[in-house]
Amino acid sequence: MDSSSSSLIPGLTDDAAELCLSRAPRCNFRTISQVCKRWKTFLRSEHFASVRELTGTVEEFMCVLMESECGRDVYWEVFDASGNKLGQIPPVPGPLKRGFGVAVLGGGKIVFIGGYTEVEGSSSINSTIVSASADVYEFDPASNRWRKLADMNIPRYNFAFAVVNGLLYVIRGYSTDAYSLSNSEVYNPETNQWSLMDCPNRPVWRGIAFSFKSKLYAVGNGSRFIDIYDPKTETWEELDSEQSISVYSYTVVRNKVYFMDRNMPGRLGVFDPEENCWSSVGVPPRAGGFWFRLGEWNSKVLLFSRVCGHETLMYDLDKEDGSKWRVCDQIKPSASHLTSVLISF
Amino acid sequence: MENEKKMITLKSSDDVTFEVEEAVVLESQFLSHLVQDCPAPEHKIKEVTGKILSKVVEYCEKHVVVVVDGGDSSSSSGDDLKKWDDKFIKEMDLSTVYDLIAAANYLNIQALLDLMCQRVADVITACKDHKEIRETLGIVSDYTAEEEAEVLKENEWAFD
Repeated sequence: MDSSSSSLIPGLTDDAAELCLSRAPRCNFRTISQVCKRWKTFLRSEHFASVRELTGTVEEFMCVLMESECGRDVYWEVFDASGNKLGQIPPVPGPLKRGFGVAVLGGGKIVFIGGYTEVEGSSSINSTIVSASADVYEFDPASNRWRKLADMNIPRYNFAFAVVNGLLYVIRGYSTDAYSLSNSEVYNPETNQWSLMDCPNRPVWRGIAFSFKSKLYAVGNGSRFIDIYDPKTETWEELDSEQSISVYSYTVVRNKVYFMDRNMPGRLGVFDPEENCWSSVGVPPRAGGFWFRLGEWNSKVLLFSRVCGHETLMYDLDKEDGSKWRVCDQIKPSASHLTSVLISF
Repeated sequence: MENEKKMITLKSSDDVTFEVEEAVVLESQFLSHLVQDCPAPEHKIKEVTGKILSKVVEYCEKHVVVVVDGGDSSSSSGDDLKKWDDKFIKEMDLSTVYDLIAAANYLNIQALLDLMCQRVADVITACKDHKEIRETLGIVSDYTAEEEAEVLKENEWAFD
């Protein structure tokens, strides 16, 4: 009974061998694919994806959107939990945009929302005409492809956004001709539909939005009020934060918001929604200045230098005060960081 | 009111017998059904050898004790169990791992099956390259040199 030449792993039934292979981390996929055709074929099959789901083998990946030389080249790089660079995600369809949103739906799909493009021939510095986009694209790592979702009702850019209980909210922002919007929209991935909703009218831009205790929190830049939306009652309430922010990058780790504020150079802002408490910690001075963009990786806050090629700093929440900061050697993006998200796959 | 511990005898394919508490048997879905359906004092397990059944019993006994002791999973007992599992698999050669996978599959002991499959995955991952994987697992490549080079050009992250 010699079936060793056709079995996945000699000595195991193919069912058992599939269970074993499905547990290998993705960073080993290339090596595993080199072993033999049978392995490569299995790794590429839909059946493999279902076995992986069955064994609960899910890894977390940080997908970093970055640009080299002011938008000459914009691309995604993927890192696993050990910092291995696993390659690239195909580019987002359509022309290069600014002021977009990037969120994650269902834990595993990247959504690229709105943004603007500059209108050709309108380039005198203060009067650039921009065209807002209502386009929304979704990336599914299983197919390694982007697909277009339903358009937003209103083209917008520089909006705040967050996912709450599986629904994606976009809040305020601007439309074509810098028209300031005082509404929101919510996207339901099950119906692929955007619905307009009201929101408190404030002269704010972008800022912070996040999910906390099944509610949507939005703090616009330039406002001292936190707007809180409860999807259950479909009502907004406001909370006086007694502080006005000017945030250009933020991330949420373990229910606390970490942010970089234009008015607090060299400091990492922290907002605890549980206590409605704002604080900040000093960022160790680095070559490359103190303009950072934030991301999350392994439940730690990452500070990406705005200048290409500089070190990534890590703020480790689990470490004692005094040893929370260190240089993150494992994460070395090849260009400057625009935004990053975590997906499970 | 304390129940008296009920003992059950398991007999391997090569007639090695193991006397175990009923709670140990309940770790295996297959054996729990067998014991319920057929209340004999001794059960022959034709598919599993004495060598492998002793490992299965050792694993199940350890895991039963911890679950009872720990109540609702105190973290130290969970850590201890993980250490024990690590030691349990480290001492094992691949052919024993394979036999335990077959036994865990047959007896339907999910946690043991998971542990053993993870072990094989770890062995694969620990290899420095595809050649070492072939050697370790006794796999004969069916690639031509060109096909093998072609694989390296593909994206590691995902497939089209």
